[in-house]
Amino acid sequence: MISPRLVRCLAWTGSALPGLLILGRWQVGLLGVVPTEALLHQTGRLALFFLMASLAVGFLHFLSGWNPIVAARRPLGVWCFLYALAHLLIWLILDQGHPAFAWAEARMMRHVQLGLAAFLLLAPLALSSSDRALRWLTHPVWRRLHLLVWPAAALALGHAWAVSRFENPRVMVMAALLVMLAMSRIGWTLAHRLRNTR
Amino acid sequence: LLPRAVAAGRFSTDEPVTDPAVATGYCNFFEFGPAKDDPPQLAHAMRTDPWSVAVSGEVERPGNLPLETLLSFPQEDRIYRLRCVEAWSMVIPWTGFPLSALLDLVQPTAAARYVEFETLFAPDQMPNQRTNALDWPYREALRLDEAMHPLTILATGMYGEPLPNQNGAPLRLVVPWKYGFKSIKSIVAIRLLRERPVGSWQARAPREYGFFANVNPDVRHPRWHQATERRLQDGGRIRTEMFNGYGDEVAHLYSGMDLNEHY
Repeated sequence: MISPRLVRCLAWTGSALPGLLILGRWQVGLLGVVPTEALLHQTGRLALFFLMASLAVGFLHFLSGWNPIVAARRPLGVWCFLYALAHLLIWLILDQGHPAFAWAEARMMRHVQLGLAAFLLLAPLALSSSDRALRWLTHPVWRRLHLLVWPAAALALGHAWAVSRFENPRVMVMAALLVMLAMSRIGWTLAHRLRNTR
Repeated sequence: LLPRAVAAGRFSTDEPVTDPAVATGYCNFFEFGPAKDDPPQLAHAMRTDPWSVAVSGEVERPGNLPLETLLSFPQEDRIYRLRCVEAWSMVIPWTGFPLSALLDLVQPTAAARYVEFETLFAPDQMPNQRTNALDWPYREALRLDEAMHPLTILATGMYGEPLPNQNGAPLRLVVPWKYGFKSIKSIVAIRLLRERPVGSWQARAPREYGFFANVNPDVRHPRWHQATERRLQDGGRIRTEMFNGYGDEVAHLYSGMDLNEHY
């Protein structure tokens, strides 16, 4: 019998693995001749992957009716934020190297603005991810606040689209997935309300 | 085929030279794939011997120039900055000869205005040519005065060795004041033209890749803010210079032109 606790444990540790793998490959020189770029791209892809994965949890729960899967959502979401934070810091420190350069890019480049906006929307979600924060905010407020994950995902995909050149098809698949998840969520909420008003 | 005696070249920079492992391991050569390590992994399949360059169009002496003929031109070292449109740069010691030497040999007619170059088309050796990532074969072009400029060379080697396949063996263009994609690799054909042709990148995204593609910190690319560049591998981020720092030599070529429009 798989308990929610086991699902949570697996999600926490499993989500850390790709990051550890990147760190290890970096340390032994397996990230190619320009490791900064590999670090930047790989952490960005991971953040996007975990963002989509955390959104997919609700959908999979709805499809399967298997309750323990819900326990995976918080670890996936927190790790999405951690990978996004790593992505931002790598860009700031290793890629730009100087606040003035970063500021100039942020002021002028659409993809930087989209990425920063996505990050700013994710930050309060990560900060309010603890049980204590949930109690303090109360459940209805917390739920409303966490709807921000949807615009954050749209912005993150916009960012990925703007920086990609030959990966556009992959971004489009993810965008289609996001639309599908959002529609199913809306449909499910509407159906739920209809049932409750009857 | 190693180029013969090499003279110390004009125009060389004394900036620190990029580690050859980086220059030969981080390559844009889309015929082999879009990733930077695709060319180093796959380019060994390209056959560069025998090799010749077909010269045609508005020239008095069209025909096939065998590589041996080109290697018999006086070769010199040129340590140039290379600025990629993707906002990274390297400093590479090339070996080669001025393109003008080849053009003098084939004698452009009075009607010739542009020089177009073409990369090898061999999908059996270049796997990405089986996709339509770009309009193959890869083509690039220069205005005739740009092509005749003494900074413009055809490189046959780098770091004192023959060109590695992933860097455009056995013969590539190097135009140091323009973004790297203008410096077309593994050239098999040169055409002298009356009308300005469209390059492969320009055809794919005309708003992003202009015909001139002069390094210009004031003209933004949609994905790359061009005011700064990363000097690989560890020179950090530096400000980008107009014409990649070769303005004294080439700015006069564009006098009177609006370089925001003719990017």
